[in-house]
Amino acid sequence: MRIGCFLSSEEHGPKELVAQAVRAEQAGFSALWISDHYHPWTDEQGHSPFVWSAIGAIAQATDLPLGTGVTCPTMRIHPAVVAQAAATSAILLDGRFSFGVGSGEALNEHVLGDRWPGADERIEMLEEAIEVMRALWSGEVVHHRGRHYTVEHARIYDLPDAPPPVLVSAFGPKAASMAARVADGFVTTTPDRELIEQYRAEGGRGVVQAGAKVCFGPDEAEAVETVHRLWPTEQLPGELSQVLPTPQHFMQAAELVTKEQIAASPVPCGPDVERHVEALRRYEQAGVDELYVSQIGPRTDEFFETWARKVLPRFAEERVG
Amino acid sequence: MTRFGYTMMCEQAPPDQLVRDVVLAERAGFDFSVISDHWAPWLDEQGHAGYAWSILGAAAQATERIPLMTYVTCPTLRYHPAIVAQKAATVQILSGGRFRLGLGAGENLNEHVVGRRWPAVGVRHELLAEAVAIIGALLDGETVNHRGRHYDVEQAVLHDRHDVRPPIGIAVSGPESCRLAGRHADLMIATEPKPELGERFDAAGGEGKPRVGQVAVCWDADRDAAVRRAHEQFRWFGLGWLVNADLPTPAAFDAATRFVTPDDVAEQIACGPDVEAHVEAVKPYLDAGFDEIAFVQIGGDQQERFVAWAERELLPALREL
Repeated sequence: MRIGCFLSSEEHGPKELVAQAVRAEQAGFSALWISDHYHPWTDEQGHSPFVWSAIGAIAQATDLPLGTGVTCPTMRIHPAVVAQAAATSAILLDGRFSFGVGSGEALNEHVLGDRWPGADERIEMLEEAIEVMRALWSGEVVHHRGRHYTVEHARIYDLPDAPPPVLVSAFGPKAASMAARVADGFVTTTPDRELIEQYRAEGGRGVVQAGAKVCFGPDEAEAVETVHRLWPTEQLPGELSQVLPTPQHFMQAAELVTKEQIAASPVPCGPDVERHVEALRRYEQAGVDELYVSQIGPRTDEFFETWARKVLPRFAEERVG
Repeated sequence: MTRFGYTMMCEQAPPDQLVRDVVLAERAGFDFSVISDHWAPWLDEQGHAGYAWSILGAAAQATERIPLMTYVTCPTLRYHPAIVAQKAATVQILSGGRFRLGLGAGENLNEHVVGRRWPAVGVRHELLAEAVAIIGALLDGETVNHRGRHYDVEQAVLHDRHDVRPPIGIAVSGPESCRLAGRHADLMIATEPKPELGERFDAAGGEGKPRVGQVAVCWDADRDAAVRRAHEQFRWFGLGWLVNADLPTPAAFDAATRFVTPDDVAEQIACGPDVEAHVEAVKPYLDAGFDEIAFVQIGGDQQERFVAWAERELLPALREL
């Protein structure tokens, strides 16, 4: 399993993301992921730079492969425009671009005042968006009148040598089926072996990427407190993360999340390298090919330093053997 | 003191090359740079149209001092103004405060792709005015709830903003746009050196604000080659905004320029090796009171030579004016 670095647009501004990308490369991470938001989940997180410009800057600053983890190409930006952005990004990255997509969160997509549809419709929109983008990446002139999108006489002129792989993020079986049917890979945020196996069983032959959060630091209690402060929203159950519309709503819901719940969660907190390695192994055991790790909070120096020396080599050994 | 700029022309060169070219332009001593923001080139012979916002991210990372500006972005149809605001804010941060957001009422060529009706010019100005208001509020850090004639924005706020708000430029071509720019813009943008544009701009409140023009030239050691290239790629330039804003496709531009001869083009665009001719080309802008003039060198593969010549001959000659 390859370990990449997950750049958190929610926690960091664009210049910090570029700096972290450079550090990740120096530390030996094999690739990068970057999240894509209009709003962070909470005001405490405080950031949401425009991802496609951040990607341009990162492409200039490092030689690592970079993927979106994940972008929603269905609502606040028209899929045709996303297709152009992805194509240019792939060129700027010399082809080292993977296009992770999801059916979105109201948090980011509702800002234009559109109705926020249910999950089935959102998956349908995502599938049509992928169809539109693939058509445009062919370089042909595209006319499309679909259920959700119209594209009129559109041709993308600057295309990478090969279209970027499209990886679909799924939280449940319907999206996993869609991923197996139309995508080049699969994205998950939990080590959900069942879902990954479903993807494979239904014909999914592409790479499986996952994102994981950790909070490495010298003191476990401090780390738990940091996660509680910055990412209580990861503990919200069910579909809440996709349907709550504003950071204020997330902050209200997060009032129910306790430090104990954080401490009991899969997010490894503190200085124990074995616990962090163990947390990453769970993804490997579930069938993940590429795991992107995000350090929660301000102790990024410690994270990069320790991961370079003590964590990444543990996974590199496996590949050589 | 008049400032002279360099244009990253997305329609004529691929994204990665544009980034390399602006780095050269910075070293050569151009005072500022601008970038076009297109879905398609005007003519297939130009052959390119990368996504400007990723190119800007890369350019911001690759350069150190040279100002960057969209010239111009249409924030009304294929892009939503709330997203344009996020883009501008991020590029302002990535560039360390070197960004200016140049806006215009748009061209059918670029905006039609998302399948919305291409409106008449009066409506386009209405759209632009409403978009500018939304963008301005977001760039100022407001939480924007807007139910307007053309746009809805729901509970949107930009989390990543530079201390310095990027100046907003508005492209003008007639009384309506001059009025809008005079009232709401920080600078005036125009590609026609007409004194009345500046006069109207000033009358509407633009007095004292910079006026940024753009002139297309075709430098080449061989004048005949320059004229051929200018005709091949830029023969649409002289049709005027009334026509150019409404033509929908490169094929339409090709048809509309069927009777434009190389001699016609050579009369309007400075072509060849003679520095005098290129210096002459800016004089109408100086006479019309422009403070900044950006050069477009026609020919995507001619940029390195042009920049080298500009450093040796053009810029020194211009600075003597």
